[in-house]
Amino acid sequence: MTMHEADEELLRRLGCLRVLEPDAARLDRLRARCHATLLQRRHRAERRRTRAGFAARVLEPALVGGLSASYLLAILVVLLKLHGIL
Amino acid sequence: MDRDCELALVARVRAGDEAAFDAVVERFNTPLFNFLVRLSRRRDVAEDLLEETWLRFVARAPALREDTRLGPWLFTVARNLYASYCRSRLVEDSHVAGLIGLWPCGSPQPSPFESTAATESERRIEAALAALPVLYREALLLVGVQGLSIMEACEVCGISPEAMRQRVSRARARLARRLDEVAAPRLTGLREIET
Repeated sequence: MTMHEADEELLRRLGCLRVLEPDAARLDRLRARCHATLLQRRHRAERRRTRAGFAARVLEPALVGGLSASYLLAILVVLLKLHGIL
Repeated sequence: MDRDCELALVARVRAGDEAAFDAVVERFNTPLFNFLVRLSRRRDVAEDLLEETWLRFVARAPALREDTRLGPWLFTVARNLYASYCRSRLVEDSHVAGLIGLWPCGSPQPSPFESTAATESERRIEAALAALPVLYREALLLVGVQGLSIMEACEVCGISPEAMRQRVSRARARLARRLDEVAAPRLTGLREIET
C-alpha cells in the first residue's frame, strides 16, 4: 500500500466512525426555547412595523396637512391686512 | 444541502422563521454534537456546548450575512465555545492545583465513543484520535470525520488554507503512527504454536 493509499484508507475509516446521537429530550426543550425567542422577536418586529405603518399612514399626512393649512391661513391674514379688512 | 437551498434557509432564519431554524437543527445538530464530543471527550460538556451554540445562532440570526455558509459558521461558534470552556477550566484548575495531588485518580476514563465503539478497530481509532493534541484532533475531525473542505475548515480554525493542509497532513501522520504503536505490542505477543 502506498502512502497516498494509506492516507485515503485512514480518512475513509475516519469517515465511517460511529455517530452518537445527542439527548433528544434536551433537544426538544432547546427547540421550544429557541422557537419562543424567534416568535418574540418576530412579534416585536411586527409591532415596530405596525407603528411605522401608522406613522406613515396617519401622522405624517396630518402633520403636513396642518403645516400647509397654517401657512395658507398666514397668507390669508396678510392679504386681508393689506386690503385693510383686518 | 445545495447552496441555493442554504441561502434561502439563511434568509428565512434571519426573518425569524421557526421551520427554517428546525431545518438547520435537523441538518447540523448531530454533526456538531459529534464534533464537540470528540473534541471535549465528554458527553455532558458536549451537550452544554451544543445548546450554547444553538442559543447563539438564534441570538445572532438577524445579523447573519445573506451569504453566510451555515456549516462553517456553526462549527466556528462551537469551536470558539470549546476554546472558552478550556480557558475557564484552566483558570479553575489553577485555583485547585494545590489540591490535585490529594485527589484519588484511577486510569483515564474512556471517551464516550470508545465505550460505545462496536469493533476493536473502531475502539483503536477512537482512542488514537482522543490521544491526539487538540489542534490536530480538531483538524481531523473537521476534514476527516465531518467532511468539511480545507477551505471551510481553515475558516473555522481561523488559519490559512496552506496551514490547514499541513495540519491535516501532520495529524494524519500522527494518527497513523499512533495506530501502529497500538497494534505493534499485540503482534509481538503472538507466538507460533508448534503443531
